[in-house]
Amino acid sequence: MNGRRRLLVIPGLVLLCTGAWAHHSLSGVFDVTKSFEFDGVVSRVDWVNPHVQVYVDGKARDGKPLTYKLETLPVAMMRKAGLSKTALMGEGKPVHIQAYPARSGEPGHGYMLHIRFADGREIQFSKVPGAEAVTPK
Amino acid sequence: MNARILFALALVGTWAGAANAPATPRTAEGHPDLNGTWDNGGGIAFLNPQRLPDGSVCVQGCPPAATPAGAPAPGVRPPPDRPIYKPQHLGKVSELEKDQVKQDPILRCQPPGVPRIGPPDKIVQTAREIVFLYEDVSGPFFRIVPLKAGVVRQDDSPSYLGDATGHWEGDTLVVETGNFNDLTWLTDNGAFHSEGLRVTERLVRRGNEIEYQAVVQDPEVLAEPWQMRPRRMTLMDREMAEPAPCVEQSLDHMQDDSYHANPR
Repeated sequence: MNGRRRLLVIPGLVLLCTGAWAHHSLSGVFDVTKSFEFDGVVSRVDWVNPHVQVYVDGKARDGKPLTYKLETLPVAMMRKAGLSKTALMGEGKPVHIQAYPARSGEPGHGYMLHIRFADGREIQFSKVPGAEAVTPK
Repeated sequence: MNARILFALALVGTWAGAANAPATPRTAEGHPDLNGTWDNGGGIAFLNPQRLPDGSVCVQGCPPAATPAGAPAPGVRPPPDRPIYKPQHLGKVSELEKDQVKQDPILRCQPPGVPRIGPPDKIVQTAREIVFLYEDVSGPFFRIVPLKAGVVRQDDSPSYLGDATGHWEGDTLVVETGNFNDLTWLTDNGAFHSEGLRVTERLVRRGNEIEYQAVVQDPEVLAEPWQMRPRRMTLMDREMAEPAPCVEQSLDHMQDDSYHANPR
């Protein structure tokens, strides 16, 4: 997160935790050293484990319509952060997305690491490429 | 002092802090009342979403922030807690670990088994039985624990979560479980087990917390009983939400078999 960003205001905090959980490497599917950005409208959220899936109607580089399918955090992490399916939908208004690209090169497939809603609210799900790593205290 | 010792000391320290905890509620039978929805203290306990002064939140990749007393630092996972295998089985563990993206049952939404499923997310307690409810990454699960001291259940075919019975030893609920199949892992990284697995879980409520500890016995493959690191459950003031279904959609897109450690 950098200073220019304002994050989503989220009422309450939910603390349910899962017991066991998947642990394939994110970098096995996505290029976590790079990101791409685009504008679109969230058309569907699959609130499923092991990873929530977000579909965003946008445009491809050539300007043709493209529905992006974006993987993101597990449900338990979302809940711990107070996030819900409704919170991710953005009320059908335009959003700006930053995502890791799929290593396969498949168009429209990525891992959502940041979203900015039409009203300026933002959520950061994962480390932005190039951002400083967290230094544990 | 290594990370494992530091983590253990932190856990002991926070548990010692429970000395000033509110009184432990009791049932009509006089046992500690375990009813409730519990933060089971595992899996993502390392995660500390940041809420900025204006109420904003950052889930991961956030700048350093103050860490609540007793909590792991943000982004710091606890050190591994693993069983010790007999020498003749180390090769199998190693092979499964190398191939775990293809072999690990929970990566394909299969039941996690016990003790991998961890402490329950909700407990329903009656005088005759205890029910454990779970919101797991593999989906919703439940275990029914009849309170029958000294009885070994073997109700049906060996199963993922086994057959459990419970009894009270003073204020400690002791749950003994056997009759497992061998299709689950004890934890990550190839920790397989046999159908001879037996798990003893102990739950002690103090105030609004439960200390949960499991001991795993599998003499066929383990060199010694595995006494797992204690977990601390914290009472929540909300109901358990409907667990999300598990729909695996990532593995077909894997470009290699890399994985990350996920100690619990």
